[in-house]
Amino acid sequence: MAPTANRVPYMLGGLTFFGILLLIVTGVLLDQFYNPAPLGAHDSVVYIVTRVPLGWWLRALHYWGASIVLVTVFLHLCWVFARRSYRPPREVQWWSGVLLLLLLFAFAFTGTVLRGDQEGGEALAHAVAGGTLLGPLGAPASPDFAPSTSLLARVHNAHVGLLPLLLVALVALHFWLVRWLGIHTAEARTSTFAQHLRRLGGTALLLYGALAILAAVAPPHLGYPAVEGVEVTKPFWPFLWIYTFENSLGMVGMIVAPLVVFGALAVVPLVDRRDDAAGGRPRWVVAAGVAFLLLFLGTLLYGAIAPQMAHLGM
Amino acid sequence: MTRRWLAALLLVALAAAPAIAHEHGRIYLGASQAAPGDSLALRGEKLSKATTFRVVLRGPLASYPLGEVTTDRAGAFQSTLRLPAEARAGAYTVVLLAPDGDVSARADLALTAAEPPAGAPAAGAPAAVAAEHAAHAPAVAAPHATAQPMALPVHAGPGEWAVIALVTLACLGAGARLLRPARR
Repeated sequence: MAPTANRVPYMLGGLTFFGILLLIVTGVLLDQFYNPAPLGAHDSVVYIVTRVPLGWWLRALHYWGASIVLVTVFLHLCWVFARRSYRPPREVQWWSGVLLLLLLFAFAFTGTVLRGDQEGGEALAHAVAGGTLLGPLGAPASPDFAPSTSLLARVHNAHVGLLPLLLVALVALHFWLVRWLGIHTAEARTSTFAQHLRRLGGTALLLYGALAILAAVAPPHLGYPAVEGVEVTKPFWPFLWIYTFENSLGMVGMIVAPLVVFGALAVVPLVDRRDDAAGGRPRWVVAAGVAFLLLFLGTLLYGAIAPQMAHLGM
Repeated sequence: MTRRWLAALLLVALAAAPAIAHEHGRIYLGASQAAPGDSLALRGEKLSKATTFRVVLRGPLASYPLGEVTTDRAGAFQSTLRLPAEARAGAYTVVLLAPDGDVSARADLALTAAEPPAGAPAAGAPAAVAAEHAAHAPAVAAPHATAQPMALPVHAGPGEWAVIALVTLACLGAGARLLRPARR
């Protein structure tokens, strides 16, 4: 491998993977005590936090692990964009990465719902409302889709069954492409994979240690059981940018904002194909990338400081 | 190519269609607001004739079976059903399910009145959870929505802290060791 691969910016994807491993382990343990029945879900989370030995810490590790994974995957995306590593022959690698990002957001969303507290209940109500806006395509988000079971149980099924299956498939594709195409550098391959794994594993273990401390000193809160038909909370922080668009556009913003963002990410390899020898990246792509980043961070920040608003029925 | 995409889209739409198909009947509730445990008058028309429907009270988080009704030869019915006492306040939909499970009609219902305190554990929940809720539930009887976190006590004994310290130190130690430059 190229020695460059052992630098932290090039290890962000690998660190995301190690973060996902932590989420799988803590998730499997938490799921032994979780009850996906609508009337029992919140109680089971209370039980995990208050009665299961180390349950509060496992839940905190899962929460902070999810947050860190979203940060590292976002930084990984920014680095790949900055390096223009999406150009031929790496378009499929970029697209699989975009799908993985989308999948991680889906994990974060379904995980929020599973808590069964007010924030989770409102998230689920938003999913139902969004599904209604999407018409037949949004039918799976409707409680009517499978009358024999609850929507919460189906969200749990997605979180622990369907989404992990997709994740494994996409991660396998992403890794296979990395192995096949190598990392994007002209440097000679003078380092070994064992050396890379040593650096990556060491950094991941330091990250685990930091997460263990963070989980111990700042366990995440749990809200009161959800009261349906009411909106008094804000979403989990990675969704605050969508919340900002909802504040200004209403419920449509919840559909339009992710479509625009993920659509824009998907077309990046199609609009920037110019070789370095031919003058490098067009300036407008740089400007669009920077504007996009600023808009994303700005809306995230605004969502955090804006007063709470109700959107359902807007 | 375009035809293939259109055909695929059509297939997806057809697969999702059952969720919105069948809905040709009408149901009317005796009241648009009610309290858990109340009786609810229900009247339906333009439904399949001489058919038994299941009536379900449905919210995003929880659904409750209310009972069954059978239509007459004109496709109408009239009935009174009892709302579940354990349902939490909020916006619900009363849905009429055909024998094949499809929704045949629906009407909105708001559950508004007092009920068990917010946070009351479900029937069958461990006694320890019930005690936890009783100790930390808000001091109001009626349910209310709040963004405030629950004040849950975390009983971490010395053994648990020892495990956390051990895991943390092991991760940091092993990580530092792996990152140490290899000896030549």
